[in-house]
Amino acid sequence: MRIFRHELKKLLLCPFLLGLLAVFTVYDIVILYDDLSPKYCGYGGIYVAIVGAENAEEGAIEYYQNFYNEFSAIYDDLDMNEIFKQKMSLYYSDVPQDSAYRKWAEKNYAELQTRVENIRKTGEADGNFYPGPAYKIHKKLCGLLSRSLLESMILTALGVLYLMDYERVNAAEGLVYATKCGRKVQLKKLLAGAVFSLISSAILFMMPLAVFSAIVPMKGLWQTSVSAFTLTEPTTFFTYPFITWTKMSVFGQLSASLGLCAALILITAAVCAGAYFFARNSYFVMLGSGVAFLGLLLLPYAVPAGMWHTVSLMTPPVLWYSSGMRFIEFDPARGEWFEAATAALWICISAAVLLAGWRKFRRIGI
Amino acid sequence: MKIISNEVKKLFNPILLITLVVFIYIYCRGFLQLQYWPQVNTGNPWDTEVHAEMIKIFGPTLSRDEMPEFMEFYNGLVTDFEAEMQKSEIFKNNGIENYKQYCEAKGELRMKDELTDEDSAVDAEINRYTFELMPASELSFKLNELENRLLIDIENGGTFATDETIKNRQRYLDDLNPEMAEMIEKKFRSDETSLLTITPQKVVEDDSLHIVIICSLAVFSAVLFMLITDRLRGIYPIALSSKIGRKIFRIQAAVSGFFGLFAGIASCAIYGAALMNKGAGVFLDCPMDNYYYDMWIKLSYRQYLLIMAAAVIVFSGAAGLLSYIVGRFATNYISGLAVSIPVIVALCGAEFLAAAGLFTAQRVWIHSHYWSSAALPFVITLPICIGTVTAVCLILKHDGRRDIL
Amino acid sequence: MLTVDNVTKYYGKKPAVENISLSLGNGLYGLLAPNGAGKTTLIKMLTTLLTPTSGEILYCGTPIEKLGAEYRGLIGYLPQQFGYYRGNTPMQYLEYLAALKGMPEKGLREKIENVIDEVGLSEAKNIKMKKFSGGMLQRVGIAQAIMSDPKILILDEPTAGLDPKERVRFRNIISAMSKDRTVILSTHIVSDIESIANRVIMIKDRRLFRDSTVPELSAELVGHVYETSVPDGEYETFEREYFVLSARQEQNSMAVRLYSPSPAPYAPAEPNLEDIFLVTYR
Repeated sequence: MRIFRHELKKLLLCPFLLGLLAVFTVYDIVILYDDLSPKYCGYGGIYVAIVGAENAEEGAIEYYQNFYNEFSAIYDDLDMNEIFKQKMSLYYSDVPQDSAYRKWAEKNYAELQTRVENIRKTGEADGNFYPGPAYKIHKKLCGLLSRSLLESMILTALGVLYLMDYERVNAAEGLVYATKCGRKVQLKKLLAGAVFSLISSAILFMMPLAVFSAIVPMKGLWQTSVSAFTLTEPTTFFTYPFITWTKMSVFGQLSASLGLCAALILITAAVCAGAYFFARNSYFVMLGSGVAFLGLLLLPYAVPAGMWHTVSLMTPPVLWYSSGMRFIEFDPARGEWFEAATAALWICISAAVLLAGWRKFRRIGI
Repeated sequence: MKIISNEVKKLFNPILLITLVVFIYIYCRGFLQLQYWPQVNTGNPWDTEVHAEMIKIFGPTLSRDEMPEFMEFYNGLVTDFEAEMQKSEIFKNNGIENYKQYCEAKGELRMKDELTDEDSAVDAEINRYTFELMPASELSFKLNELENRLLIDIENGGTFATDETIKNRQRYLDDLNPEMAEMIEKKFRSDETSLLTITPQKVVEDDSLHIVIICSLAVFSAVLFMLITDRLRGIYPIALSSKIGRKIFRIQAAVSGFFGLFAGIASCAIYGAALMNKGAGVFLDCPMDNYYYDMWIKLSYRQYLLIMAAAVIVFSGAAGLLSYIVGRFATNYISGLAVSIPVIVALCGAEFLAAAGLFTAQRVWIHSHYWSSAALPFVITLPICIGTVTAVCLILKHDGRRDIL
Repeated sequence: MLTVDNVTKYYGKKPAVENISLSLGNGLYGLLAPNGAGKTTLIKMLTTLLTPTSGEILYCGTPIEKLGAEYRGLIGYLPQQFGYYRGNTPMQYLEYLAALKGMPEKGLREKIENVIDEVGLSEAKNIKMKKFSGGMLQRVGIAQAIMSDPKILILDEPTAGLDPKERVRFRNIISAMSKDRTVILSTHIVSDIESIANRVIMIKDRRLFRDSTVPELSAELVGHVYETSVPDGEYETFEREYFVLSARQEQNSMAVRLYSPSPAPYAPAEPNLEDIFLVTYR
């Protein structure tokens, strides 16, 4: 416990890490503040119209009414099987018609169609929210998460590697590893690094979320289903609502995303630690991690459509990149459990790398 | 000389080199827009080619007087397309015999909610003539480009404007501030229009940012490693007490700065060669002020390329000096990296703003929210250049006097 | 009892230490060898930083690899180039190392203050170590090695940077400590070993050369070490004929101490450990 406390203190009092955390936080808040510049009626005005309060401005009511008339029937003709066919011909035209992979994707979309019918029947499609096409609140909330996650992963890698390379940089390896605690001190450092990463991530996520909540009145709107028509944000080729695999409120999706982010941050810590055990040089591990991140992010573009394409999508960088579409239908190559499966896969990979690295490190000559 | 070459060698650690090579390859494959030439920021794969053909006939600009020749060129393409149409039984059976009828049928089918079997067949054939890889689709895209880019724009008062046609653009001009409105109206009424299309400009603007990112990351990686390793290995007590003494800091600063410049120059040279190889050379004499953009200063495409190359080189050189400043004070690798991240982001952001600031169009938030002026690129670039050089000089001067160890 | 049983260490194909066997009970052992002979490699194996390629090291009959943390809890180690944390004060540094050594928190502060006092750093205990001289840093290193009251104390060049007064002080401390523990002292300062070591372990060409007491080693050179004065002009010729152990320039001559395997016509001198070192490793 003492050693853990010492190591954690090193990070919590580390000026350059704290400085970087401050820079990231300020940057996020500035970008968010600029991004949330209110459109049309302003947040306050349209919020009153959305919740149907008596003192809503006429312009806001009219605007909301027009939006409602245009989009409220969006579920009436929604056919997920048709969307599946369009997406396959647009993005995966190379996949043979009778392949198992296509059948698997088709089955997923058939389940989504069942979900759509359920949404229609149960009234989940209705729900108050800021009109998606104009306000894009879902995209902005996810953009906030995406930025914070990347910054957290960077701080995690820096923190863990700083601690683990501390003795080597200060030429104290021989001294420290010859003590009773010995090389196990590295595991305590990893634990301290992980705790620091969760603390710094909490700041990086909560500060912008606090700013978001201060600017955008969300009372009573957090429980709106993500699949409500009001959230619909048209893209280049498609205009249909976000179809979640299971019923999920905006708050529920945010919470699940935050949980996933926490898992990704811990995976980052474990992978960096494991890599350090092999390389024993924090600089090269940091650079290598950056290159690996970029490589994994771009890997799906190099893999032809098929099962391996789906596997290539199951990486933390891709999960980070698609922050806006977590737990939502997005790509025929992904299924219902895509996020969970990716996290589970990478927990196994990071555990394996960590274990292999630790076993090597224990035997290595100093 | 030996000392300088020794310092330069320190930059090229083998593992670091391999990492950088892999990174540069992955990054270029992933983000460099030149690989998508000629379809950068445009849905039309043939607009660059048709503009290149026109340049061969009309030169870098098309003048109002040359419109009859342009119509000849255009009609030539129409005739070629109609010859291709003759090969289609579906068009023949549905009475679509010429280009005008083809365009009308296309428009009508787009407006229909439900298609009959006949309509579907015609629609499929039109799609085939547009998207399938064959001479007809090439002609279709070329004609589409000429219509949108010139003929429709002339009608709307955006090119070769007259007193009548300019009224169609009045609402747009009224939204601008008076100075900019005057400038743009002058462009609309001009007797000449540049034949530069969007791809040659956009690819350079986008890729200049990517090149600065690559150069900054490469330079920072190498220089930080060199300086921090020296510090950790305890090289300085020996070096500073030798004949070379504190001059070693100056040498390292110079090596860092020149490495940055070298990275910028080499990148520009390689990129320039690749760009010319793609066929951008035909646009060199075209004025930059065109259908898509207006610039504060009247430049040709060639001059624009040189300015962008200069910007890349300057920012890469600045990266070299900034990496020296960070490396001199970082006590370990992680602190060096932690400080470098916001510095690199700020540097690349500055390059992006400076490059976008060459144009009057309010394409970035700083323009639309705060300030749009011809001085913006200089206001961004000059302080960075002067600031980094001054900072390095001050550090070196201070090093000459203070206790080092 | 610490036993080194036929230990060999290879780095790739290059041997660093070959077939060394030792028995180290309580007492002070001086480890003597020139650079590159395998001294530091042996020490690193004793401190578990390296594992032997063959052979094993046992503590009370159990291999130290098996004992692991239990064994490391018994050792105090001062490396030749020991690292320190520049931003720490000695108190902070020793507190951290105490945690690593598994020392109980109760009474720790007092213990640390005592050991700081013992090495003569009381006045500097709250000053950051980046302001320390080399000698002060070395004393911090000694402090951390002895503070856990180790059963096995391994010191690699501990007196480097210490002035004579401090060296004497240090020698007294470890000499007293060696009464009921194993102390291994590796140094090039032969006089440190000569005055306090119970036994001297000499390594030559990566192998154990001698494991004897100082008097036993000295006895082998009795009658072979001489002293004389050589006129300036003749010194070069003299040097070619005899193995010179030391030479000191005087007004018109060189005061020479020499080794001769056969009797020489000069005044015999009492051999010391430095003579033994020079003759052994010539």
